Amino acid sequence: MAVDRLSLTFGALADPTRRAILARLARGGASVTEIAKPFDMSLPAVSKHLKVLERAGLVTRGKEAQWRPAALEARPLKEIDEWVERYRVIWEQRLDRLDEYLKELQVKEKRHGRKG
Amino acid sequence: MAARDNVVEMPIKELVIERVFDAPRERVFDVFTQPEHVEKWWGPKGVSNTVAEFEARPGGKIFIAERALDGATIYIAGVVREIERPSRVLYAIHFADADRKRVAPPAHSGLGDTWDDEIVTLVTFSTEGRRTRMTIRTLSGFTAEWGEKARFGWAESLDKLEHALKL
Repeated sequence: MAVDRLSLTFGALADPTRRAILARLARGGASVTEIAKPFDMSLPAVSKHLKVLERAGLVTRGKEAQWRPAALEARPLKEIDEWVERYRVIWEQRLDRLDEYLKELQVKEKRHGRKG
Repeated sequence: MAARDNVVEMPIKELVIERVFDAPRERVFDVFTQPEHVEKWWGPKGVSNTVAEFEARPGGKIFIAERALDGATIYIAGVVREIERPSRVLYAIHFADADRKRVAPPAHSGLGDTWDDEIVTLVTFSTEGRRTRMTIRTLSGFTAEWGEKARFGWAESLDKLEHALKL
């Protein structure tokens, strides 16, 4: 279910290095060595981050023992997107009401002003 | 380090909502941050009654109860992190029970029952002639923090990402 996945996804994304790795993988699959290069990071450090991303389902790894290229998995990100869209609808409705309420206040004030 | 600083291409949609209100900035700000006003507009469509507490100061408590038409009540608790009248307010909320204790989000929220993050919302108010533009940016704690740093520049759509993946 989307449930556990969404928390896992947010958790994995909480680290700036892991977000950087994902951004790199968004440009195409890469080996651990290739990922490590621009970040000035050790290979074990990169592997550790990849494991977290893999657990969150954000990254898939190839099967070849040495090479094991990593690739971005888009589905969990899509779930966040869906949540965002749902939240947007709620906010749009709230703002409709806020707009109406502001207008009510204005009308009340005008009436009050006339009386005074 | 430069490579890291340029990481703005994350393919997650940020929730940004903008609305222009035909009212002065102070008025819109107050209606957004004063509980007696919040009670009047907070609930989305289908909500009959809302009770709100909103302490408009840094560290101030937020507690909102919304009663939906089906009788169910949803409680939201949180804290005001930053507030500057009339230009901005930053606050964090989570789902709660009637005693303000944190609970799992309701099913309809789409967040799932293991969610334990905050929903962080930054609302800014700017003057446009006699009107006021309100901008709401909201996401979970990490994205809000990240978004501030990245200047919200990663709002790439997933379609775009999928396109990139195919290349």
